[in-house]
Amino acid sequence: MGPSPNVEAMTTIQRAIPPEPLDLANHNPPKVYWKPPTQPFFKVNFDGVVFNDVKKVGTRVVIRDDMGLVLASMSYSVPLANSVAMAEAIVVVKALSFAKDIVQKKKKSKKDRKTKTKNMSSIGTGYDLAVTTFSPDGRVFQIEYAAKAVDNSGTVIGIKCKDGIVMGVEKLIASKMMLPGSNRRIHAVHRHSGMAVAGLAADGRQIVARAKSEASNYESTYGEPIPIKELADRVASYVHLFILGGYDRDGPQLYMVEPSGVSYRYFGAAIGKGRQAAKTEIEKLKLSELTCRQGVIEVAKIIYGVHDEAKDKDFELELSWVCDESNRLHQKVPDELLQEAKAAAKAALEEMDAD
Amino acid sequence: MDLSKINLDAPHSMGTTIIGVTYNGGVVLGADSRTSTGVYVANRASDKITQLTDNVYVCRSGSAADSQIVSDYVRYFLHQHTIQLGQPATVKVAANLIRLLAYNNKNMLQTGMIVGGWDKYEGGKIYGVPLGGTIIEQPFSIGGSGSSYLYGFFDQAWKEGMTKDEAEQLVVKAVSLAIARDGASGGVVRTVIINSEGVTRNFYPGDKLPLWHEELEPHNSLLDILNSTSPEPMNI
Repeated sequence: MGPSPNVEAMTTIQRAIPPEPLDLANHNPPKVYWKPPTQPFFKVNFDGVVFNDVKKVGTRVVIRDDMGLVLASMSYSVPLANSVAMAEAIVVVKALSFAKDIVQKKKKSKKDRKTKTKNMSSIGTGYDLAVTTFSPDGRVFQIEYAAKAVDNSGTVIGIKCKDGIVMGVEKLIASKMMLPGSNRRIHAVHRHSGMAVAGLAADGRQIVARAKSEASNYESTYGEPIPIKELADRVASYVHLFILGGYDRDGPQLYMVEPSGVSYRYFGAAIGKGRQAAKTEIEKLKLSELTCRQGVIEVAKIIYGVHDEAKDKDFELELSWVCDESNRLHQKVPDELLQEAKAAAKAALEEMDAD
Repeated sequence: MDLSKINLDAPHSMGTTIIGVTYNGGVVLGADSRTSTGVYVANRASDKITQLTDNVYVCRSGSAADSQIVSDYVRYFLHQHTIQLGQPATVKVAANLIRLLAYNNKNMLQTGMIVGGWDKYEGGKIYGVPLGGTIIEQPFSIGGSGSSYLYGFFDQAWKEGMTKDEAEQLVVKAVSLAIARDGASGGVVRTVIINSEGVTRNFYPGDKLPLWHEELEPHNSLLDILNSTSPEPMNI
C-alpha cells in the first residue's frame, strides 16, 4: 500500500493588493519559506488574483508531495465576483475540488501505478544486477525475481502428521516424451530427511548437493545425524526455495526456506503456483490426528485440486514421506499407496465437478 | 637414593588409573591423583577428571600436556556447538570430537581418555577413546597403567543396573586396588557422578582408603612400623 493521498490544504490566501513602489535600498523580502509536507501527506497551495481591468478572478493551484515534486497544477479564471471576499471563496472552492479530483484519479490508477513504479525502479536502474545491491527504497530485486521464479513453478506442499511428514509435488511435464519419474523434485538428503524443491530444477539439485554435504560433514564431525533444524539453517544460508522434511531425535519436523534466506518450521507449507489454494486446504486438515497414510491421500487431493487443467501443462504427482511406517527413513511413498492416493484425488475432483 | 640419577626432565605423565561406570540413571567417573616425572611424583593430588560441558566430563591418562590440550580444544568446540544448536551437546558429540583430534594427531599424542556424561536423549553414557583414536561405547571403561590390574576384577564385580551408591563404591574400591598394585598410580581418589539431576564431585583422601594385601597402616615412626601386625586380607 502506498501513502494514502490525504490532502493538507494550506489556506494562505494572499490578496491582490497593488504593489507599493519598491524601495530597493531598504527592501526586506519576507522570511517565509515553502516547506514540503511530511510523508503520507500532499500539500495543496493556491492563490487568487483579481484583475479589475478585465473583470476576472485568476486561480492557481499546485499540489506537491513530500519530495517537493509537482504532482498536479492548474490555472483557471472566472468572471469577477461581487466582492473580494467572494472571489477568495471561489478560489478556495476551486482549489479543494481540484485536489479532490486528483485524489480520486490517483485512487483509480493506484493498481497500475504500483506495477508501473516497480518496473520503473527496477529496469534500467542497475539495482537488479546483483544480489548484493539494494535499491534506494531498500529492496533487493534479485531476491524478488527468485521469488517470482518460484511462484511460477508447480505447487509443492508438505504437511506434518502425528507420526511423520508427507511431501508432495505437482511436477509439470515439459514434454510427453519424458519418462515418468525423471527430473525428480523430491530429493533425499540423508537417511532421515528429504527436500522438495520449487523454482528452477537445476538450482534445486545444487541446493540438494549442498544439503547432502552439510549433512555428511556434520555427521563426521559430531558423530550423530544432523538435526533437521540445523540442516535447514545451514542450507538457508545458501538458499533458494524449498520444503525440507525430516525425522530426528526431536521427532518429525517440517521446514520451509525462502529465497530471502529465512527458514521457519511449519505444520503445513505450500509454495509454487497453487500455494494460496493449497494453504487454505491444508488449514482445513486436522494434522494432529492424521496419520501419514491418511496424509498422503490428502496431499494428493490438494495437488490435484490446485492443478489448473485449462492453463497448465500435464503433471506428475510426486510423493515422499518420513514416518514410523517408513522406519523413520525418507522414502518414496510405496507404489500401491501412490495409486490409491491418485485414485482418491481423481474421485474427489469428479465429485466436485458434479456438484 | 642417588638424587642425581633421577631424570627430572622427563615429561609429566599420568601413569594413571581412570574408570568410567554406567549405573541405573547416570555415570560415575573415578581417577587416582598421581602425576609423575619419571619416578618423581610431580603432583600427588592432581585432578584427572576434567569438565567439558555442564553434563559431560572426561578422565585423562597419558601425557598431562597432551590430554590437557585435547580437552581444552574439545571444550571450546562443544561450547560453539552448544550455542549453534541452542541446546546442550550430547555425550556422543563430545566423545566424537575427542576421537577426531586423537585420530588425526595420533603421531603426536600420547593420551587415552574416557568420556562420560548424561544427556536427555541417551541418558548416562561412557565412551572410551584409547591411544590410536578408536571410539568405543561401553557399559564401563577402565584406562591408564593401573587398569591392567583391574580387568578381572571388573569382569567379576560389574553388574547391570547398579544403584548410584553401588557404582561409586565399586569405582572407589577399584581405584584403591589399582593404587595398591600400580606404582604409577597413587594419592587420593576423586569421583564425579553425573545424572539427570546434575553433577556431584567426591574426594577420598589416601588415609581413608581401604588397605589391601601387605599394605601398611600409616604410622608415625619406624619403630611403630616394625611393631605393627599385617592387616587382615580382603576385609573390605
